[in-house]
Amino acid sequence: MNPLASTRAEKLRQLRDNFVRQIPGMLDTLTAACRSEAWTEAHRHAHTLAGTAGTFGLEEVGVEARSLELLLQDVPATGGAPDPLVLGERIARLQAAVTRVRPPAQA
Amino acid sequence: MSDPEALRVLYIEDEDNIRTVGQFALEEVGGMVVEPCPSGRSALEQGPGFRADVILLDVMMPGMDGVATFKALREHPATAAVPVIFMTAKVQPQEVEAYLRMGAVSVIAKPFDPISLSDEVRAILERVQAAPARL
Repeated sequence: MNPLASTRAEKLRQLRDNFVRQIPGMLDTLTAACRSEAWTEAHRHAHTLAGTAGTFGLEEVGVEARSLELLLQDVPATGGAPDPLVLGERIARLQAAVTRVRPPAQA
Repeated sequence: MSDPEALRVLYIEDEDNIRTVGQFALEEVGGMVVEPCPSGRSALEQGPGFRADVILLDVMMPGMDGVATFKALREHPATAAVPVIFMTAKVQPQEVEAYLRMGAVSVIAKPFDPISLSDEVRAILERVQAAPARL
């Protein structure tokens, strides 16, 4: 790999690692919003996690977050709620995907 | 010092991590000059003075979303004629068509590849410049 490409790759790795460190907190925020039945907020958190994970090549996390996002997207603005079994399953799959993410390189 | 011929991009994206990697992709990989905006409101403040060649606009943003931001940018003389590319995960054909009917020149799907994003933007602008009558 030429030096410039190597520098860019290293920079992207650093940005990825910075995001990976944030994932547990993002997941906690998302699940807390689901527990509180703050569906609009939960949808937004799922959308953010899905988009960011995908951008950093964390495909499985991105796919599972997108699946959760789509479930929450369909919740009516007033008085609605996602199927709790489906919601629980999709959150579990997302949590499992997060556990399989390669941790950041040690400093 | 930036290249005076470098493409100038007004980049509107609310998510910090995506905005950071997008700016890196456009600047470091693409050699572009980027004005990052974390919201639609900031885009309306920063955009008119920046003299962008193109606007990259996230669709789903809190408060003032991408569509509202697009319409507001169209109202300002300094940004009204700047080509706008929406960036969104919602890229079903009917959704893309809706954005194009609105007046965007193209839609880039998210998640994007940081290494090829700048090439994608350039290719879109080349198509726009080659065939403006089809817009």
